[in-house]
Amino acid sequence: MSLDWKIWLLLLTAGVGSLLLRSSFILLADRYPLSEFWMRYLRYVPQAVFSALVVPALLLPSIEKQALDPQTLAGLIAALVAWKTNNILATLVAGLLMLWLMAFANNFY
Amino acid sequence: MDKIFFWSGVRRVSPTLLSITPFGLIAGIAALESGMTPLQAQLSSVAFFAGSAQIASAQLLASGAPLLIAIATAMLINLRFMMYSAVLAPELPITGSPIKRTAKKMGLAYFLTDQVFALTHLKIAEQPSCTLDERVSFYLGCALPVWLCWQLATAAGIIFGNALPASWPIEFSIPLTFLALLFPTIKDKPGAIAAVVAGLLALLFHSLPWKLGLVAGAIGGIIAGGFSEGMINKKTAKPIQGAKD
Repeated sequence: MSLDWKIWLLLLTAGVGSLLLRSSFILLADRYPLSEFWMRYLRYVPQAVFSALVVPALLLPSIEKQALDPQTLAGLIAALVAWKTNNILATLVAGLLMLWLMAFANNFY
Repeated sequence: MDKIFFWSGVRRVSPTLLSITPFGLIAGIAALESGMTPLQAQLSSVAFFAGSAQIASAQLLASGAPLLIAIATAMLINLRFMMYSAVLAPELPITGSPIKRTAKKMGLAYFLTDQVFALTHLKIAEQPSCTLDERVSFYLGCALPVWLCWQLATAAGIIFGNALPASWPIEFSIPLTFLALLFPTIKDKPGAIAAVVAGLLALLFHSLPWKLGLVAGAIGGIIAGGFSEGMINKKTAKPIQGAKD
């Protein structure tokens, strides 16, 4: 399958799927309210998914070359900013600026 | 439509637009980088209307992962909408004939996002006596600016993304964005446990094919979070039971 077809299929299925997830209980709650058991697990979807995306992306570069990679260091600084400010823009600026500064210093020496 | 409640929603949601804008820019740029045409990139913001799912699935396709994994990951990220849907459902008891009711509910559900959920849920908790019309007006007052801002920011990302110098480390802004989304969600112990377990498992299984490490990490984290909440509840519930006896 070509990439173009994959993209169209992704847009269609994930688009319909997102709408179904969003409308699920708004449509059905009169008949089937969500039990506390399922709510307890669904509550941790964001923490788990975001962390599974972030941790390998920031730590793998260092693990693979067995030395501190600029991406890991910039990521740790950004994590500190994210934790303290809860602000997307500040986190982005801190991480990118750090990475850029390290690349700059590397070229300079 | 209640104008006062609609504009109160607009006012409440406007500060969040400041963080939605850079996220939308990145969604537009990431979509192009994954091989989408500008039209597909914009349509992905209309169809998904969910930044993290959009960015993650585009990145997976670009890295050669199978379509099924890209879709599964997007759905996994969007599972949280199911929870929002379940919480909001009794708070928005839409009435009318079955067809009209379903259309109204689907229309409202399309606009459901983290910000809209959080603000509407809070508003109804603050003013539990407000009518259904006032609630829906407030919900739309939050939802429409978010939607518009998201589409415009994606468009800006598509237009200006091409103009960015190649040396600019745009790929790195994707994990940074998820990092910024992760921290506000960790509010308690089970949440932190879910994040740590998910991150470690994803790292441990990163060499699995088709990015299955991501799926394994996410599912492991969700189970760890829910399980530890159950454990903590059991511990704290005991003295209360004892006091009753």
